Amino acid sequence: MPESTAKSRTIDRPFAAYFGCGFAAFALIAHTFAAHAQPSADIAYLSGAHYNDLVVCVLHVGSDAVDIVGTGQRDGRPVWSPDGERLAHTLDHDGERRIRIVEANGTAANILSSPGGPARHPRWSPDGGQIAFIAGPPNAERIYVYDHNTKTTERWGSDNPPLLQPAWVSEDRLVAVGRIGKPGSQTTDLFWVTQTRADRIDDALPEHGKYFEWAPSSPGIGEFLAFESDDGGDREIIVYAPQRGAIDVSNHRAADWNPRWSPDRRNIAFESFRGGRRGIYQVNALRVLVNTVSAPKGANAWDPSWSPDGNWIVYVSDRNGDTNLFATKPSGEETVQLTNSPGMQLAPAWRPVR
Amino acid sequence: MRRFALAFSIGLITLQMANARSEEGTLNLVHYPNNGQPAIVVRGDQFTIRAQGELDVFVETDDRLIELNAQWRKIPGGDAEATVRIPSEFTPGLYSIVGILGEVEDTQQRALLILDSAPSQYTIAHIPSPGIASAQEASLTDAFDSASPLFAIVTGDLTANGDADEYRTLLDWLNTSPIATIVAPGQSDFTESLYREYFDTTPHVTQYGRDTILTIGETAPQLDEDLSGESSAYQLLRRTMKPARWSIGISGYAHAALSPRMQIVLFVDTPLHALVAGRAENAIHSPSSVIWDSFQGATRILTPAADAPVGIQWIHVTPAGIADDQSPEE
Repeated sequence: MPESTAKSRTIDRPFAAYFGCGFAAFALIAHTFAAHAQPSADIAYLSGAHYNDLVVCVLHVGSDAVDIVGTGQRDGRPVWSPDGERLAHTLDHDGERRIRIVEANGTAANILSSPGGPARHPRWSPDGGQIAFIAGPPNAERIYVYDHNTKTTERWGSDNPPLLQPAWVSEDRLVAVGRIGKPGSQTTDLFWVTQTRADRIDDALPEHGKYFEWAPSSPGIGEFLAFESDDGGDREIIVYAPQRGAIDVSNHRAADWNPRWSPDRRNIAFESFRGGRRGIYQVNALRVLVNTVSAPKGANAWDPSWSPDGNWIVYVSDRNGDTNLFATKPSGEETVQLTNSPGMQLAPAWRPVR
Repeated sequence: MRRFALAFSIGLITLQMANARSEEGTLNLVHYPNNGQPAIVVRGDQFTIRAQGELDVFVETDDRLIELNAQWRKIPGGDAEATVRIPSEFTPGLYSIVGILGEVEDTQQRALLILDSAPSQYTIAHIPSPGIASAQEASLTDAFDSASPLFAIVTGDLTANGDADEYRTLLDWLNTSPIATIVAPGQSDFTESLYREYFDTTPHVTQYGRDTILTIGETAPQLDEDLSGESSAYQLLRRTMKPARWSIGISGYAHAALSPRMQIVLFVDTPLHALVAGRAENAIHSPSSVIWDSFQGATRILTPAADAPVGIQWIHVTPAGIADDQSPEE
């Protein structure tokens, strides 16, 4: 499969000292996106010296300002509401993991109750009116959905199987990973999940329970999906299209992980170890052409998030020792370092257009 | 930088008593190997040393230092790394590594185990959860007399609260062992985020002969999100371990503190042959939260039973497989 050999160019610019986000002195690299000015170039991410310190921050790309909007109570990955007005993230609260909803400026925080125990993996519905999340101990996970209008939380799906990693397909349906088999010999399958049912996706997975599907992602077009599977001997990115079945779009002997659809729903950014380390790649879902976005020599790049116009991909890299945020054009042609701080800058999420 | 010929008969120099680690017991010039992550190498083979700079590297014998030829390279994060070959004339045994940079000298006691040949059948001693809290801990001097294990694994919690005093006591305790000791931290060892100061980074692979040990380190409490890229390290290390006859993971976590992604890497895509984990009573929730073997079950889990007396679990490694026992006899 052809891969581009686009040459990466890192732009180093002077530091602007900043103190506040996380517990270490923080410096941002001043930068501009001259060629592709962003309509809403805000990036939510986690910052801290240690896992226990991680706090949700919002980086305003044009001004170098950083807002702290999290709690620092072991904050988890920030997830933007579709309108870009609010964030959801996990945190430690009264000794349990919970979901916190907060305005983008850090105000009006609300911690969701979790009838099923420790909560995790919050995901907004397409209209932003609901949040799906997982709760429950390992091997007994359930999906719960919080409704912002009624302020109520309901369990979705059925008693079995335990369900993980929900992703919204439409306002009334999710795709999720189901644990198949008993502990000690489990695999996974993908399920359509509604308020009352969990149905295995038969034609996406012709050999039930044989392979290990993970990380489903919906572009929001009908029943199209991307996910990963070890069908074929190693972990690959699979695109599922109704009536057409499942197609391996990454096809490499190295592991391919975590597909993320582009805003135009044509391309998928994913992580792969094909360059020797963990790097960012993208594939056109229809033409199945893979190109390198970022595969820094001797270092890793992971956790891609698309800009709303699809012109940039922000991600984490340890190319300079610490983990910081970088943005690269999907073609791989230009790279901008967004943060330069000791410790960890993780889980970037580009703010949707408001 | 000075370079000495590798010939065993030359390159011998004598130095005064070396200083072990820093005064606080934290790692000094030499980051790896150390007395919690030793290098285990068959004579004639090579191992990797990682240090604060481009050191002169020596193996300490009873009365002299023998210099090794180290070809250094810079690595991300500021450290330097070198591949070092052990001359085939070396006498098998447990040695200290000495690094010298200018006027600074650093000794890592019991950091290098040199073997005569690749072991085919051997025993590993597993000491679960010592939870060191005070200076009155028992010595390891006679603990392994009955079995002659190749080396010992000590799984966390290594300390009670992860503070500096406890780590210093732990180091003293480890140094009472006549055999090499590989440590794997538990949750308490990260209470004050000091583990790396004493034993360097995790995860880590110890390759010896045809077998490998993977030390599983700290895991993020934000388990579900695979945030830190730690799974990258596991994926890359598992790939380096793939040609091994046996791959053995060691961990102080006997509960569900591995993210699903790490479980996929370690137990599904390229499953470890065995996992030696800390005591079952470390499980912090109900038994159902012990999910080491949730996925596919190709990995043999060797965890001392919750009601087992505190002591040593013996891991017997043979051409046929890996098994555990409360007895040192194979």
